[in-house]
Amino acid sequence: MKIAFCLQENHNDSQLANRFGRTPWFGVIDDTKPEEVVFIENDQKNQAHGAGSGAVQLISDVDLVIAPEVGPNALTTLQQLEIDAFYQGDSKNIKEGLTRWQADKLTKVIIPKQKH
Amino acid sequence: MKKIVILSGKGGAGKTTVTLNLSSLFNQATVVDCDVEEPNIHLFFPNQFTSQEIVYRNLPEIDQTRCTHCGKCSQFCQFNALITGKKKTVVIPTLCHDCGGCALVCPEKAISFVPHPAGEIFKNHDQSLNILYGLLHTGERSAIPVITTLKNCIPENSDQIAFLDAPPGAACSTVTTLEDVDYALIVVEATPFGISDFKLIKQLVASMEIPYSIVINKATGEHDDLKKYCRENSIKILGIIPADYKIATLYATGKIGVNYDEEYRNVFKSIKDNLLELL
Repeated sequence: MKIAFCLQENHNDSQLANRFGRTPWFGVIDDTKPEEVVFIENDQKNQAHGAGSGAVQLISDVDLVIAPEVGPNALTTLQQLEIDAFYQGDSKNIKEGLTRWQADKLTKVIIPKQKH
Repeated sequence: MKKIVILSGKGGAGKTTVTLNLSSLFNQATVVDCDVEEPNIHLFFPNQFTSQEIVYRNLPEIDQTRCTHCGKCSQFCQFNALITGKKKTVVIPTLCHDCGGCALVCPEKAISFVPHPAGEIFKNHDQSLNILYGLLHTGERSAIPVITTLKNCIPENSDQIAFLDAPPGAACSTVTTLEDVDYALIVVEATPFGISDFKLIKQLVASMEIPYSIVINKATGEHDDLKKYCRENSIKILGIIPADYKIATLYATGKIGVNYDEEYRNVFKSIKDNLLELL
């Protein structure tokens, strides 16, 4: 199963980011080989509008997203593409997020983050 | 029907004030509130407005049986309104700008368009005034289809004048309001911000080759610099409206000043006479 994480930097031990649509990097792993991370730079992060759906396009081949929060456009898009999203909570990095997800300790995102 | 746009660039300069007070001095006139993102002219009329028309825009619809999820439409869309997944391509209605490009680039001809409600036109008749306004639905991106439809609702065969209250700013919605009009009246708020925005909006009006003149609003003195600027650039000043607490109070309580205050009425009568000479 392919899982996308939101990362501050492009290395395996990077801190998880605190945004989804405007995260600097995505890290995509296969849960059977979690040490092999594919890094995708989020070139959508400075879009005035539609950063969330644009970010989904970058990771549209994953099965699952683990994110700090998900905005309205991104969540609608993920739901239509049948990609589940889970809150990362206070997980620090990919390893911790994955362990918690495998232990069924993460909450599924069903309500989008409210606009400011 | 002669169409006169009242605009300012800066918000709060007095577009609605001038539109309402000026049009109220005519026996018959049409007033059109083109600020469809936040219309307010109807608030000055107690009668019920009736819905005239729903405005639709096009929204792409994807035939999933034809779509091969090649991603060409998503690459084309500058607004991220089409997202291609592994097994499905989806449309995000709130991001679509209705440009139609996705259907042009689709090699499978899988994209057609369905009408999507974007706004509504309302109408009312109050004694001497025909009043029209448009209302853009919450969350809609573009005011253009609503303003275009609204302007099409202005009766053509009439010797009345239509006063179009423009949206603030100098962006697309203001340009759409200015298209095919006969004259522009720029309301210049007598403040540094107001004068700066006037200089911007006058470039827009001039580039569209629309004849224009100005009224100065919220005047607190002689404003010699502004008058000098207008003289040097051959811009006519049709009138000067003083900054006056009484006028502001009337406006804030939903009253049209010329119907209540003789002094104020005279200011606008002179603007009206000056305007009619120029049309």
